[in-house]
Amino acid sequence: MHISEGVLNLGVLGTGYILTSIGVGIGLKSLKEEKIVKTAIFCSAFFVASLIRVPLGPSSVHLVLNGLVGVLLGWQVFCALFIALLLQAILFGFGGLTTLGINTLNMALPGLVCYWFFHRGLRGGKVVSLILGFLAGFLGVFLASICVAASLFCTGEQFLNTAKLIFIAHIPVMFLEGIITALIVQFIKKVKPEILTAT
Amino acid sequence: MKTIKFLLLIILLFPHSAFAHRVGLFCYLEENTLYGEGYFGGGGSVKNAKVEIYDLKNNNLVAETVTDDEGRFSLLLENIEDIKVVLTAGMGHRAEYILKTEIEEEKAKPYSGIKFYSIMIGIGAIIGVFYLLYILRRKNAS
Repeated sequence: MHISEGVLNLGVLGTGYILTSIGVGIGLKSLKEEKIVKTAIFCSAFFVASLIRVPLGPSSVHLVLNGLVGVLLGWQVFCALFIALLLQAILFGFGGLTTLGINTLNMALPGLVCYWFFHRGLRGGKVVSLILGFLAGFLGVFLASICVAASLFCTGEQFLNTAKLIFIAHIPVMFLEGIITALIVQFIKKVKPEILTAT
Repeated sequence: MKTIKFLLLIILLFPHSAFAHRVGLFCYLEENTLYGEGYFGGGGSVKNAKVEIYDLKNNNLVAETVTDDEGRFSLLLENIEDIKVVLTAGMGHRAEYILKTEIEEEKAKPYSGIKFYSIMIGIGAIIGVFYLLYILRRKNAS
């Protein structure tokens, strides 16, 4: 879901950078000392998750985990994803430096939405947290693919087909992410429930 | 002395003429066909020049051809290995181009190049950045 360099127009790239810097600013400001380790861990998780490729038909898709990172970090999702995407761009050539702003926005904003919707609910009972975990993972990828499609569409109407294709290709990923997020949340609840309660 | 000065003047007045005849060569493979183009540094194509293709491993001459009027050539190669293309433009001007098949294949698969150490560098960088943030927070708090 990384948008490569040289595809989007200047307006979309600029908007991406402006909104991302606002997000990163708020994230840094509200980053308390005790949350730094948690943010670093989920930043690394996101950084590595993109390398796990799941073969799907003729091509392959990779895990995104923006729903999970978002629901657990809140505003810090912007800091975590910005650093992870920057390193992915430099080390692996995924995305690019000019598209870093819009890519971060496309991934982090859905994460933030997941945080607003599901964060409190995750502390509930087992069934509730399973369902909400699934929804967080699902919605994260769902909104992210809509954001990616929208940024392509804002650049030019000729990308409409590509935008549709991106959305369709990610429908299986939405379900996969939902399941994985639900399981990870269960695991965290069992092993280290403080991660869910600390805001 | 006057002749030397005169010669020096000529050399200094036309310094680029020495570079103008530097020969360049560019080649690429498409399926089994080798395409290439020879050019002079100052512009202009290398016409009707001899092109020799050597097998890089044993340095054996595999094939030979001649550039056309635009300095281009193409050649069907039967078994493609790592090759060295040598263009001889006469009067001692020559250019070489080494073409490795393995690298070409690696470029075609964009995700195969991820090395384990680059993942480790990334995780190290993340730890470093957040450690810096932690130190900064500590300083501000105290």
